[in-house]
Amino acid sequence: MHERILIAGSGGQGIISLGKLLARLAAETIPHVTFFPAYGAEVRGGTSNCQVILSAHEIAAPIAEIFDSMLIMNQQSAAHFMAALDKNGLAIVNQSLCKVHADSRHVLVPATEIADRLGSAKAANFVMLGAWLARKPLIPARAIETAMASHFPDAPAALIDINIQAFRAGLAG
Amino acid sequence: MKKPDNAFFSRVLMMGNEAAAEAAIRAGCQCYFGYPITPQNELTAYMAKHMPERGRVFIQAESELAAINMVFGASVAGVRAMTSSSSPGISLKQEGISYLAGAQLPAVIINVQRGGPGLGSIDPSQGDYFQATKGGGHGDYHIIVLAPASVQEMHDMTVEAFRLADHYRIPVMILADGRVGQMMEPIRLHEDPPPPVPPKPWALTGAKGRPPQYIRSLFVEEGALEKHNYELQDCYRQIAAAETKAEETETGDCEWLIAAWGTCARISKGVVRKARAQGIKVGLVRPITLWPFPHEHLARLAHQVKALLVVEMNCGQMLEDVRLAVNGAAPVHFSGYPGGRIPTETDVLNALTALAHSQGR
Repeated sequence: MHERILIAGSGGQGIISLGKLLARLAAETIPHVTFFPAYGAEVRGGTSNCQVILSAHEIAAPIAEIFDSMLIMNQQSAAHFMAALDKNGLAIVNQSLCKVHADSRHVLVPATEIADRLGSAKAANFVMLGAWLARKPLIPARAIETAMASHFPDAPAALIDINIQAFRAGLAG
Repeated sequence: MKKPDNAFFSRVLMMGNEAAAEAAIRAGCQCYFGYPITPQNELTAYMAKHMPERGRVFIQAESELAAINMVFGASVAGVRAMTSSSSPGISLKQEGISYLAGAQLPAVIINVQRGGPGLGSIDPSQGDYFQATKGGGHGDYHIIVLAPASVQEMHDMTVEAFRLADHYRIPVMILADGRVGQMMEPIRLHEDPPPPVPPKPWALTGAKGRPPQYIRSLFVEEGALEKHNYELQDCYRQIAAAETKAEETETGDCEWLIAAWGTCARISKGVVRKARAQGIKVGLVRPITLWPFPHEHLARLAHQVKALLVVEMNCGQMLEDVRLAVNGAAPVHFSGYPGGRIPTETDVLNALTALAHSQGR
């Protein structure tokens, strides 16, 4: 198993925190995990992205060229990154904010609208994560829900609850 | 999926900068002095939170110059002290590092390199190899330089740096880069006691019950500086004999050899796998200590290979040490990335295959 994951969107969409949560939980069952946030020139203009690599073997370059999975949350990221999706890859695309060409590798999810209906558009990242885990169950869904509160220690309980509902909506959709 | 074992649960996902900070605390660092700069800010922030909790000293200094001289003061008093910064800030510390070296004082300095010269960029770089290994400040001195390639090594090498610093009475630098500082990996934390602190009869602890003593880097008496410098060189020889470290990957039967350090070495490890799948018998030598440099590893391997390829995120700095070590025994080629861009495995693989084809497989 060697899964190269890119999570990309705009600042404030919870890109980095989603990547960290994924990496943290993956590290409980998967031998080799790297998380690398874009922090240099590429974050300018309000975009945000991070790479998470999960592997049964030692990870050489922690920065991938081609990705097995992508969680694409805004149009700018779709335009910038989706050419690097592996030919057998899977891209979860936030249909609320992105238009992409039809492709059997793309799964369109109206993540921002779903999250907004649940009470906070900020939870769109968890709709995306749910939709991805439904298709690539690399970590147990229950672990995500259990870890939610400890991952956001300062968040009010109501927001944690919206995140969990958003995650379940993604998982079910 | 394989069931998790207990070892997995004892791992902690940490960023390189924080892993180094936590290691310093576990190694018994009593004083941290720093000044903020990207991409190492998380290290300073971690120390700001966790040093006072343990009743230890954290000071955000008014400048890098102040911070390194605070390290000097703490070290003179016999306690474990460190500072950290990134390239432009490390330049500002060089005078203090020269004084620490001259006064034979232990200290740990972490450089999470960014692009240069000048303010450069905040992207990862390996542009400070010359500065770290060839002196940096004025005078005829060396410091020990360790090059981590993973978050685990950021942690482990920081603990080791405190041991080395105290044992040899020398400044030790961790030469990391923005990539290893910013990335997160699951690591095993140092659970053993801190490296034992050797007796420090030279420390200035108040002269109660003993004659006054002093520490300085000024030797004006006739012959004193010469004697002092010979003592330093003697210490450097002991370090080179006992502490030089390199990691070799697939070098047993290799016909080509990549030499790379830190981030570039890690990328090159993936290149070795891919190139071997294509039938190119390549090995990798990774200096773990940049000073002392593993000359003997390079010299030995140079005799068995057709050519070497040095890979760095600069315009050719360790390249010069490799050429010295190889001493003409094999051609030494270079693949460099100076602009803050991290090379991909494909970049390095292309450089290697071009070399292999041009030299005839």
